Amino acid sequence: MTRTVLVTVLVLLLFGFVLFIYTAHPEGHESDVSAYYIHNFIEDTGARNAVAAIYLNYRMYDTVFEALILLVSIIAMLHFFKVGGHG
Amino acid sequence: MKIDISGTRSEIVSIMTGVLYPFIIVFAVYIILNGHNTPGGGFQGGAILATLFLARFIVLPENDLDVHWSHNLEKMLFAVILLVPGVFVFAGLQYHFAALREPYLIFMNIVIGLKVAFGLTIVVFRFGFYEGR
Repeated sequence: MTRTVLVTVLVLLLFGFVLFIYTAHPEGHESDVSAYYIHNFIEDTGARNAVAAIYLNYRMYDTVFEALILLVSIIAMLHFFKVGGHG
Repeated sequence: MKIDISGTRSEIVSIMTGVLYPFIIVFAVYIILNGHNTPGGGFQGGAILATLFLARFIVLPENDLDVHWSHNLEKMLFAVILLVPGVFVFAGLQYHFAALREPYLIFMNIVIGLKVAFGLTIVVFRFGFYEGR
């Protein structure tokens, strides 16, 4: 019982902390960058879809780590399932 | 391993899923191959491709997927996802070979789509056969 309360308080504190970070440091709208992307993505990347241009060229790191998240979650899932897992 | 589905098997669901199979494949391939021109891309198309196996799981719950094989294939595809942009984008090869920019986008969408499809298929099969029962 105390363990549940402790975990709940911890999660709520973490939630408040993340909310505080978000409100204390709002991400500014970088109009220069977005204007550059909108006006130059066809010449820069050859894509006609600006989203594809951004996630496969300008912000490639984002895509790499997004793919890594899926891989890591599947490794964890295979590891923690007792029946039929890896270990 | 096989889940006992006698008594719950539906002929209507089986036939309709069989009819939907080719449309799912065509839609997924379309979303992946046109990801650089229209809304869509590797992640979305891969998720649609994974619903193919989800539909098959509903009709025929038979665990004949080799998880280790598909998991190793997924790791190899992730190595490709690391290497190809590493050479083409991060090393700056795209500034010397402008003609390869569009083929690069198509290739990356295909690789990401296959990787996501394999990953989500593993998730569906694991949760379908070992969890939630």
